[in-house]
Amino acid sequence: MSTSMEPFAQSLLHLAHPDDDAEATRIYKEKVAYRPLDFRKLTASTAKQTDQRARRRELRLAKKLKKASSKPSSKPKPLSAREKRALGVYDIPKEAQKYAIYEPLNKLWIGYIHEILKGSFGNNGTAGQATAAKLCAADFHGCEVEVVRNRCPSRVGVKGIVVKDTKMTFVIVTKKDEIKHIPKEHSVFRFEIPWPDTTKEGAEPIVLELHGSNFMFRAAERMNKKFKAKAMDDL
Amino acid sequence: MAQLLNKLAHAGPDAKCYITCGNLPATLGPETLNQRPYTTIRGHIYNQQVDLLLPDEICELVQNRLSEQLKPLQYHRIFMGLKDILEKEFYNNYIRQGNILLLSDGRIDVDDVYCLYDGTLYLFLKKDTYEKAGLVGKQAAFGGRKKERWVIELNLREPHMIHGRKAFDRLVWSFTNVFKQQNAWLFCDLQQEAINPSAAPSEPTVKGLTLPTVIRTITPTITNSSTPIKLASFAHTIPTKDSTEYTRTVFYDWATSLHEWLALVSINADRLNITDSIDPLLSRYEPLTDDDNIITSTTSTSEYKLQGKISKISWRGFIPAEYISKIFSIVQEVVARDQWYSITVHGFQNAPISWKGRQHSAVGGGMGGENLYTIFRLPEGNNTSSVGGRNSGGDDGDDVMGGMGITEGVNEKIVGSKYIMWEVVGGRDEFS
Repeated sequence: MSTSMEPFAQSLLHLAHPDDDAEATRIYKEKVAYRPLDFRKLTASTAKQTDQRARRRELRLAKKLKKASSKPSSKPKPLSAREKRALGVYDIPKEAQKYAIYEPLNKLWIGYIHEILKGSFGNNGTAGQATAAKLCAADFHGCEVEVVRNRCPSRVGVKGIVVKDTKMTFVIVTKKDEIKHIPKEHSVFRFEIPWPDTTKEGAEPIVLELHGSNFMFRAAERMNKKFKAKAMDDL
Repeated sequence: MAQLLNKLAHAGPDAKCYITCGNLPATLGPETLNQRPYTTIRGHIYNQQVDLLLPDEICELVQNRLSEQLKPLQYHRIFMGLKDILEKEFYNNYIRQGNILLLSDGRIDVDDVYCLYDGTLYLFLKKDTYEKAGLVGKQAAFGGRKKERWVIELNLREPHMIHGRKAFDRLVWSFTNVFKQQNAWLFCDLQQEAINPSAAPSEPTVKGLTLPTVIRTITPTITNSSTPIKLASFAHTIPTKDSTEYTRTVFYDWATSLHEWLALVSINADRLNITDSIDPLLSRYEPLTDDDNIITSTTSTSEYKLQGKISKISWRGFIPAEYISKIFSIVQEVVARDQWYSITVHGFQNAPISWKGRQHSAVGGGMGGENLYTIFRLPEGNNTSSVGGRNSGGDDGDDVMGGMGITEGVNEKIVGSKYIMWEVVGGRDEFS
């Protein structure tokens, strides 16, 4: 038995159980080896947040945990929205703000939308309610959109690939490698779906317009959402 | 409920009529152009009809002088998109160097209407077109509470408005991608001979346009009344600054009646016919009379004291204010001081701008929208007798309803003839 090869924790256990080697090994295997050790919990307890909102959040989380089990959880708590913002978790780094990076994503999206809409468009581009429902449930990450109508005149005409679809905004990357956050409210987006290569040569792409005001849901929630036909309301 | 009904019944304020009276300057100089009524004439940009009323005996004289000094005005009816304005040839010729007047077809309450004057392009847009345009604008005066209409004002003569500059490229982008449709426009070159005598003879075509244009020429039509009609008496006291409220009110009543009479003359109404016999139940209209101050023109078998023949010279078309200003100054020169004349100018109903560049609302629907004015020159020696002691010496200051008058110098020696001007303004117009 070579103690030098042993992990530190196991050798410590051997010292504690000098007579019973098997017992020490068993304890090590069951309680120590491959067990996650949370460092966050230690730091979280030291940095106390005195903010009202943070306190309310802690209280809420504590209440929730109490209901689930009487034992305090050893798991680290999720980041709050403020922490996420401060850390910039969802920010797109500067080197990733390139149109060229997302062009393959756009190709992928076109393939994806073809798959979804297979057979739902007529030869002349006509479509029914079912197609609309499919499009509503579709994912728009990678779609190339253009803002055609907006309350803010300077946003009209912005065109780029959607890299993030939040509840209230589309984040798009333009051809000039800029990131633009476009609120869905009071905007109309236009996107094109080219015909698959197999259909016919030189066919005009299908052009669709998306009313952002009626589209203010998270991408994940939208999947099971039922969209009702609505009269075109004013923006 | 009653309140609501009341509100609906009086949805829009009534049209207003501003009455101004004063002295026309005896001589035309650059400083007189900043006075009324010249400011009104030059400020009323889009005009479709001018009616000049004259006593029959001086008609021929005026007519001869007008045909001598006034060249017929040319304007075009063209088809183009907004993009064509920015095309190099058109833009350089008519906006950078020349001066043109443009007005697009459409109703100002429901359509998108564009107009251009003095190098400034105005787009009067519906809300959805505005939001698609991508150009910065302002809320229009008549958009209502829901902001249904917007104005984009673009000064195309600014130094940065050159092909290749960012702001200009944005315009080109918007006009090519958003404003794709072709419109019917009225086009008038202000550098033509009829307005500016020093300009080169105008060409019959519009430069830089692909579609053919329709050229129109405005020539006056003269209508002489065949039978004498009932004349109104022009004698009345003109109030001064220190007149009492009562005298003013009486004067306004009188002026309104005179305006009515002028309007009836211009449409050649039957009620003014000497031989007219209408049941007083249907119409009790009588022209203005002045019993105290009998002016006999012809006292013949007719029971009516004042009668005479009146001629009308009228122009119809797309008439710029500069041309009207010319007509006015020629007539003012020719007509002798003891004669009267009146000019009525009708603005375009669907011109988005009138009254010194202020926004103009649509006609009907409680929005008002009238825009016309009449200038009437009183014959001299006619009203002075009734002025009495009220007007003292040369202190004939202007009297303006609404307080927008010009104050004339007290010690001005040569005083021109008196005039009265009526400006009929839609109740909601920005001109207040």
